[in-house]
Amino acid sequence: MTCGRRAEIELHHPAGRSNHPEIVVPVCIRPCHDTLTRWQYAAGIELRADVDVTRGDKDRALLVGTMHLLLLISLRQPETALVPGWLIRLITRAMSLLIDEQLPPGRPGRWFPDATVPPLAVAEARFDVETQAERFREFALFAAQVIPVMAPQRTTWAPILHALADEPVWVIEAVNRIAATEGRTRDGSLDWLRVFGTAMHRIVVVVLGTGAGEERDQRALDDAWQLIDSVDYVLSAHVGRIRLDRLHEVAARSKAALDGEAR
Amino acid sequence: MTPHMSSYLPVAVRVWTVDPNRPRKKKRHLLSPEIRHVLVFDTETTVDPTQRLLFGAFRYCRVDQDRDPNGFTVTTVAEGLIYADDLPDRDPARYRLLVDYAASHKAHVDLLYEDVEPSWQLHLVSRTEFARGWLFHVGYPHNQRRDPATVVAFNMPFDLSRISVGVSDARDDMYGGFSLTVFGDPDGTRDAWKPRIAIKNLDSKRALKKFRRLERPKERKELPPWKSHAGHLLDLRTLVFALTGKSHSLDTACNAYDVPGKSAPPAFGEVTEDAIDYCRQDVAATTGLYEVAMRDFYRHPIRLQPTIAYSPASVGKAYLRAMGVAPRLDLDTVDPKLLGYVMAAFYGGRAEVHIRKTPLPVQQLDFTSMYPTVDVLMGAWDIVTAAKVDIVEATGDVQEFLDSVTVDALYCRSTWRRMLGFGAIIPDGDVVPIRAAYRENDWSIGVNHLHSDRPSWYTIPDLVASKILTGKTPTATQAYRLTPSDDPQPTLRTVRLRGQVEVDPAREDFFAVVVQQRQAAKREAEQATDGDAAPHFELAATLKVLVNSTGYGIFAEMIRHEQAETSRVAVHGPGPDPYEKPVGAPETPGECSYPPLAACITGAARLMLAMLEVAVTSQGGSWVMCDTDSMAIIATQTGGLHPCRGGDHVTSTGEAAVLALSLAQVSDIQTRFNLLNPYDPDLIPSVLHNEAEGLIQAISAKRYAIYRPDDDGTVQVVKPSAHGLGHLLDPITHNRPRRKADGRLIWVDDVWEWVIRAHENPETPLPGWAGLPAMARVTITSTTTAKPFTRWNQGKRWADQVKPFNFLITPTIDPAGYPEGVDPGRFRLVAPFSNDPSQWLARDWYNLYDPAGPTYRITTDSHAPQACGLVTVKTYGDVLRQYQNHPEHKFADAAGTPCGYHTAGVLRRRRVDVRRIHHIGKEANRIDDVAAGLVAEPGDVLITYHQTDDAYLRRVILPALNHLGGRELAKHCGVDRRTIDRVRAGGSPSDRLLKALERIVQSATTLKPRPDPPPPAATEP
Repeated sequence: MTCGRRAEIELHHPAGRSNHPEIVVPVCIRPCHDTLTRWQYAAGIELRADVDVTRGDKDRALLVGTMHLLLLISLRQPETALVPGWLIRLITRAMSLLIDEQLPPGRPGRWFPDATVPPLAVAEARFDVETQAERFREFALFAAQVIPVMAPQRTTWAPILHALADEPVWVIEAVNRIAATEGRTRDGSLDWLRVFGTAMHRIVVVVLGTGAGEERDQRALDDAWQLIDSVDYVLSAHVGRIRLDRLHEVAARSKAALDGEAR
Repeated sequence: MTPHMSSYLPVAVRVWTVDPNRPRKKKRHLLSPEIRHVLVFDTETTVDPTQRLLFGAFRYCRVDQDRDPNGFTVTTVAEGLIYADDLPDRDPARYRLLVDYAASHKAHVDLLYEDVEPSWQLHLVSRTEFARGWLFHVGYPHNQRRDPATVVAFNMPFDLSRISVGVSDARDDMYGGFSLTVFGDPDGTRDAWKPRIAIKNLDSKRALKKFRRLERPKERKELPPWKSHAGHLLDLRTLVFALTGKSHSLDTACNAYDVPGKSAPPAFGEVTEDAIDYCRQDVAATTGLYEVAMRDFYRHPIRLQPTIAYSPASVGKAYLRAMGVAPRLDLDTVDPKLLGYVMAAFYGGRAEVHIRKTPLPVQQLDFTSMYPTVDVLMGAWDIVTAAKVDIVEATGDVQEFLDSVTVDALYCRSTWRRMLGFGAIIPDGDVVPIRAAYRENDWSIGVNHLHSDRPSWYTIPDLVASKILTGKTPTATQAYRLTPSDDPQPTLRTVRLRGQVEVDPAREDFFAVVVQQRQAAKREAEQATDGDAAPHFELAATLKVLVNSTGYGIFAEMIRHEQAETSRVAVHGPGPDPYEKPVGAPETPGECSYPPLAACITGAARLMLAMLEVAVTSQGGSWVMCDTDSMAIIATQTGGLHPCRGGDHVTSTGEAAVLALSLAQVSDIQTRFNLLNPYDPDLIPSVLHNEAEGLIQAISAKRYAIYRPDDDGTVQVVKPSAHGLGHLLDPITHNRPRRKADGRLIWVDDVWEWVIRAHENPETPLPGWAGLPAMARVTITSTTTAKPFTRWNQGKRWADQVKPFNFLITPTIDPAGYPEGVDPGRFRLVAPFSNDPSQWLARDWYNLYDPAGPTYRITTDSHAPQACGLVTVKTYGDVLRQYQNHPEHKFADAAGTPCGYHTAGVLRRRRVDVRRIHHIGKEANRIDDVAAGLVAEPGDVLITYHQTDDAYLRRVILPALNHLGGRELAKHCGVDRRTIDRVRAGGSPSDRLLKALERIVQSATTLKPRPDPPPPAATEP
């Protein structure tokens, strides 16, 4: 899913096998699985099976692991990345920190990042259309697994994601056509991502940049949570209703046009 | 004239040794790959003699750097606290406080740093966890981590010793140092597959530190040795010294680099929130200092690993490499016999007091950059950069030069180009530097009249100095000159000093460029506005350090290798024949060592002083003191006579007097010396500048002060010397300022103010702190200094032991103040270090040699009634009274009697007849240990290879004992008859026997030297 390699694939547990054993994604053994596992160590996710970890920390691990997948995809294909890698990394850190601070400090299995894990260089990877489609499908299926855990109230997401997984090639084609017909870059056309990026950047600044080690005031934290809610709203509103509708519409037209050409 | 017995002194000369087991190899200067992470730590301890670990703090940081030195940034990504392994059990309350602190505080990390995941948790780890999980995990390469971090601390040996669990003597190349078990259980069990850390102290600022090679398990001895990794252990104190040339504390180093420093110190030895904050701030300051010091370091375009930048000389040598200059001894094959000759001619700077305990008005003149200046004058850079340098015999040429040279000729710069060389003379009253025991076991160098019937080696500048001081031309029996080839080394290349000052070593004189550019930078700094001055000051300071380090020291560097077993080395001394001698600490030349040049540089500096002395005395004037590159000349506005005991002049009232030169005369002298100015006169208008002016009070070499009396009877000390006081702790209460705005220690000024006023009025009250016990600091820096604590440590847990690098304080016990029944030879009081004098008298004191014995109290009241456990110690006042009378042993009074405690006025040069010549090596740099009385064996600091030349025995001692039979003499000396017969037949006696013979002669009523043999009868041709 992350680099396009088809050989030596194995299933990766984004949250760790002991936290959410049911959630897996297919990635290549080396280097992607190695990289993701290294990032799990760096993030501090408790991976040992014999440690009592609270539900909050398990879900936090899932969130961080999911973001790692996005990060790896973003770094593998920086040209097409909707959100730059550095921002994903900081968002992940901010979310992890915020959730950690919301949970009781003396809880068992609380985990922290490990700064001593050396950074890894991630090489870029090129995807052909077919591989891109498979990746899209796998990610949609993965998202379908994650959303019931992370956002059980978003019941409308599952059918959309499964629909995306069913016909990923047409969705990719649709995205490309939107970009072409509207004469804008992909980043420009998907302006909700701008909103997302800006909002997330503000979260990062509020959560991580308010002075290391100093007590953040409650108001700044409230602001951060409000921003997360706003992002959630933007995602729900734009992706769920408007953009996906438009994607489906364009995808259908594309399919029809291509079918006609083929005939 | 028959010499008096007191003129026979033991004389020592340096020798050149060749150890066949340590052949000279070309040094490889490898740089480690870029290091991207750093572990900084600091520890806090108890304040008892054990100084056991209480807690500590650490930071783990990432390093980012680019080509620009300012791009070197250090970002903290994890922070934590360390607690002693036994703290939870020993003191649960303190441990609880640490736990609560860690839970309620966040780490000071940069959460926006992207490369790794910063940890917002303030870690709390035990010593064992820190050693294994941090120090080993990030500091040593292993399977999970191939790129070890730099481990940083300020005064690292102390901190490493705190976090260790055991110690043994280091071996091999670290012999004499400590091997610490850091990775192990609290009970001292060492972890398998983890290395020890060896530390060998060099001096108070430097120590060698490295991870030792991993030991193979006993059952796997058949395996080849594991690959070793020395680690990147960086003592920031050493790096700052290498960059600034000054010894700094963390606080002063932070000030020097403009880094936020330490916070206000809390009560030490406690675990409180303030103490934890203080420790964390120390680590923060160390991290900040590391960042700016490394930026400073990377401004130098040199190949040098920061962890082995031990001194400014390391930086200087790296610059020579950067310029493509190959070490002289690597290029030329020099006959070791010649190196033996030149080592015998090698002496340090000249430091003397000529007029003692007599306040006189002086103008102190200082030579600008003395060693670099004589380097430029003699053409030392040609020697350094030439493709080849021959040492050629030139006896006739040198003698011709000595015959023809005059004082006037010495003011011609071209004359100095002929000074690079050395020769042997049979000294007959020549005034030359002599390294002699002017007092028992007190070796110092004095420029005196030497008499000997054996050849003595001196550099050409020393021989010229003797000529202008005595008017007698020395006769060289053998002489050599250094002759550089015309072509420079082909590898020379241009370098930019600190990235700013360009030097082309093939075309320019490096020393001249650096001295001039330093002055230019200083001038620009003075002319710049406040904000712009700093870079110029920094450049000037760097160039000063650089020129001082390369101008002389690196050519004289000898490395002493302590080792467990003796090596047989070939000793090349002043005689033509080498001999072999087993030594425990062989020495090898340093990388850039070239004794012929080093000897000539110091010789030339002494010649400069001799010229200045002649310039003064030839006008009837006089001088009070000189020290390497400066001389205090008696001078007033208009000149005139000043009463002075032993002076050459007489006042109108018939008093002996010395003549003060007028300031105009002094100025003329300066002008004349300017003929030798090799620099751009716009930048350096004078090579002999005014340093200070006022009245002087001088006691002995390097002990003097220049001052100005105020109208109210007080004195304003202008320039005090702290020589002879350095081993004592500052007695001023620690919560009062201890330094003046210019950095001078207030208590040293107080000492001199008292010395000066007490000279006028012996009733002058001592300074307020003089009643405090005189206290010295002891640091356990080597296995030798740790020996006295062996008994103390016996059977104790590691935490309760006195550990390596512990600080202690020790008072000076009054000879009449020992408690009843103790052996003064095995009684030395120590107590935990405290710089708060108000605590010293109230403490419990321990006898170093009897740790299980009772504790003692100290008093400074010599009339205190004898009480059990009460020891009378000397006060600072007692020390001051001795200080003000310290004799200048190497000179004599006007009557020729060696200078004593109460000698005052003009001193004269002594006659020195060689009693014995000792062949010595480099003196180990262990002054602190010696001062603290922790070194009992002289061999620990000085290698004596051989003793030769028994003229004293043959001419003075044995003739005086002719009337005694061999059996009687043997009985008196405690040896057998055959030994006496052997000595009388020409054998060499032991030191002990010689002293015994001497005692017998001294106890005789008269000394009857054997008459000189009659001259041979003239024969007709």
